[in-house]
Amino acid sequence: MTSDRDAMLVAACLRGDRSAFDELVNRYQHVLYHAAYSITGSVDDAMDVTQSAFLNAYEKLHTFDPAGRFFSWLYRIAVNQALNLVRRRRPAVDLDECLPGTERDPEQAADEAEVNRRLHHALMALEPEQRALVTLKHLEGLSYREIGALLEVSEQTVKSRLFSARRRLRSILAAEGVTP
Amino acid sequence: MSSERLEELLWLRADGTLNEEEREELAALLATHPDAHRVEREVEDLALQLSRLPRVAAPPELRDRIGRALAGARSPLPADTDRQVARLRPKTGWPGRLLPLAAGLVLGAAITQLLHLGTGPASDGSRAVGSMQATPLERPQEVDLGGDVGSVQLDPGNGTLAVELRLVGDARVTLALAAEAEEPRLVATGHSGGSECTVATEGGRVVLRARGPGLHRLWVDAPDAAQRLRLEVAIAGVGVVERWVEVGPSGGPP
Repeated sequence: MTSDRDAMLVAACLRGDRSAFDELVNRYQHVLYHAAYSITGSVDDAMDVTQSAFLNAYEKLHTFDPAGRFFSWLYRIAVNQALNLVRRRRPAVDLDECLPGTERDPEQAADEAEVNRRLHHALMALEPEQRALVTLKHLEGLSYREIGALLEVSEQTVKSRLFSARRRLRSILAAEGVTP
Repeated sequence: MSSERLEELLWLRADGTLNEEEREELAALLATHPDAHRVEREVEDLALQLSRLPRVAAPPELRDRIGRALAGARSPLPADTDRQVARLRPKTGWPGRLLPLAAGLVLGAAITQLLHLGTGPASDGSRAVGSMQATPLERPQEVDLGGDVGSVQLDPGNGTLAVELRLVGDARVTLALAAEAEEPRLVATGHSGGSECTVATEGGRVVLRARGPGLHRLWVDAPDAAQRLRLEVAIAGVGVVERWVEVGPSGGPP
């Protein structure tokens, strides 16, 4: 149903209706931002990536294949831009401290925030490609096949690289004295 | 090897993709591997922690930034001819029925240019202009930096100047925007490609430094009182463009 609506909006946009694209922005800005933030670890970079992804998608909308899902296409643009950005900026950038808090009791919330902070730092220590894989799998909940389609690699490659990434993540946490 | 295989199977189980054969293999390893239960607990805990990482909400200003960027975007219409038509249209958009007429006019103009000047349009279909001239701008206008460097497209209006720097070669290009009194305000940026790129506010100017094939966009607000911005472009430190760009009053007609 969402895909159908997206297809209608894309078609309307290609007929010159700019407001149709605004609806696509409203629909997907948060999920794109979250993915970009998870990969870049920076609020500013995530905003740049999200903005740039929408801009590129809009200007290249005529190249979008309507047989595919608009969201997958848009998401791939954003993930690739985020990866390109962090590859250019190696070593990994510092993590902006902006993880949202929770509404549970303060002590528990503090413990949880600390766990999240350490986990984020460990994620940021991964190679960008590994971080993208872990993000797409665990934070976005995508299947091997969906990740493979986004990154244009086979499912088997996703499986194998994801294993290496998670193994490395465990070793980083262990080296920091953090036992998951 | 069995430790690695154990962890691999545990992750597959955490992902919910373990098949029957792998399930049996994992059961055997869990029964025999000395560290099996520690590794099992660590993998399960890490999978749980990853799944509990909070989603980061987009800052409220992001929507506005995207809107501003899209306001200066090129039309998504296909083909170069349509893109030229889109450039001629006011941003509110022409009725669809006028597009064929406009396309015809553009095509006619291009043919006329070919016949009279003996040169073709630039590779992206836009008209090449002298890089050092300070003629009044019509929206949008392209400044050619040379075939081996790239071009700058300027789209002023509503107090904002949208700048698109398209680089095709490896030259280091510096683009600066300044105003007469107050500082101009950098509203948004967008980048794609390029081996180097920085944007900063320096000495009252917004400065973009870029190198390598790529596309860089800036949206810069002129101070309300100024309504114009000074554009300077240098290639490898040598100034090639210097001009004032009228951007009109903020909130004025597009």
